[in-house]
Amino acid sequence: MSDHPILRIEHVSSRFAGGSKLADISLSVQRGELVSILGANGAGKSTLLGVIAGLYRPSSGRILLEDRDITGLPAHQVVRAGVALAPQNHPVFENMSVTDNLALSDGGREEQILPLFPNLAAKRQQRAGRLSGGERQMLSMAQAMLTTPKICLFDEPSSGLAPKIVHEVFQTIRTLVDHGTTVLMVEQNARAALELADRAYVLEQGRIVLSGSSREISANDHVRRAYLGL
Amino acid sequence: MHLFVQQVINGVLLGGMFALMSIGLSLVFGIMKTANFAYGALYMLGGYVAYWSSVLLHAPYPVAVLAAFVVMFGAGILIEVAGFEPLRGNEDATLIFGLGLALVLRGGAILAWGSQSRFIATGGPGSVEIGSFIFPTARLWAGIASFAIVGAIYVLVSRTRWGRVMRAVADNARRASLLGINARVVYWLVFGLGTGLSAVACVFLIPVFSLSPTVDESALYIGFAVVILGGLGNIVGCAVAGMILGIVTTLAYGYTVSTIAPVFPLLVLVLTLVFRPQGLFGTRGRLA
Repeated sequence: MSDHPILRIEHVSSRFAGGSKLADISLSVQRGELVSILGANGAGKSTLLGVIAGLYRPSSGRILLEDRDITGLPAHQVVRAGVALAPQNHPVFENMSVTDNLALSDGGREEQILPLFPNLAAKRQQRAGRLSGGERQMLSMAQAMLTTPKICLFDEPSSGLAPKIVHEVFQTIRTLVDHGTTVLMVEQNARAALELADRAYVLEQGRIVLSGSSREISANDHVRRAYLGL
Repeated sequence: MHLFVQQVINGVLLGGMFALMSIGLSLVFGIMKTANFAYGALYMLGGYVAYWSSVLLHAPYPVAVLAAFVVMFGAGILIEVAGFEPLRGNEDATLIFGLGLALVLRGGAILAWGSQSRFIATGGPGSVEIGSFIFPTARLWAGIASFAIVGAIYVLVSRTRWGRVMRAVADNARRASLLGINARVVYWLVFGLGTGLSAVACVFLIPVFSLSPTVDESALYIGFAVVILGGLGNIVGCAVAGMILGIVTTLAYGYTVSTIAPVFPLLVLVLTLVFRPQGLFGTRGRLA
């Protein structure tokens, strides 16, 4: 591991924000890595991403983006600093066309980004409200990518999608990472998340109980029993 | 038949004015979900800004209109920052703040400037003849200006980059902030724009409805009636609803006794609330 991570979270706790509590969370993501956070419902996964993205303020601790302290910045400034969150359940602007949705965050990179999302290119003129769940997730991720982030946060990209579509979404995430995107992802589908990710953290009741390479985590007895059903 | 056509055209012109009267209220309601009960009072205040800059500073008419817009744009931002923003999410408090502000502004205006009606002199002939129809000049111009302004706002919201940002914030402010949009600033600008537009509306309508501290009531009632009929916050709805209420009002005054005529627009409103409470064009998050 190089000692210059893109994102470093130091002893972050949060008591009231976003529903779940977080206790003394520390983690880091290196450039070009795909890191997964595993955990059950209510473990605090989405709260953690919300705290990083500036939706909630942590009660203590620091969040560093390439050594810049972004703790407590409002969400729109965190985005401009280089952190993009694609929220859970892929909310898009339903009354706008796909093109308009993309234009909201476009910093002139559409030609590089859009080829990575082939399903969207064909539906540019459609109202986003008529997209399928998988297409919404793709749109949501494309919107995040268009803000030219240093790191993308994906909150449960597979939630509510059919197994075949889940596979497509994960393929797309893999492609993004292969193209040099750094990703921190929260996922309930532990098996797929571990297959995809380079490293993983396991979050239980607001604490990180385990961390390591995906291989190490997959081999852990507790994880095998509690998350992989083996 | 000729009389009927004349009445309908008069109704359309009045409808345009109703739409202009409500567009600022509609914008703020649609984008910020804030029911601004001080709207009528701010409308009235905007009229006085134009009136005094015309009377005391001898500003030409277009300059007076611009002054009203700029001053009330600023006042709108101030009221949003100091009043509505801290109360956002608490609907009762928002309502009481708006009503309270309206009372203070109206009382203040009566104390400061008296309650007599005032006009801004525009010059020119009192009426124009087009074919066999006769229109009071003031109404004709006010109607045309209303259509132009409402049309411009429609283009702004539905066709421009800034309009896209406004629609995004209206639909889901949190999601918009995750794309780097500062929703707070968008709210400031929208409230400023809404208040500025109410001022412009008042100035354009002074020749028709005159100006006094109590015009705030009719502006507020008409504003809410149009916004409810059109569908909360929808601009096309605002124009169509203004038109319907304008035509109904004119026909009612033209063909019934003036004591029962005011019932008809209210009847339209009541029927809307009973049969289509979301309004004619009302769907969540649609502005244009």
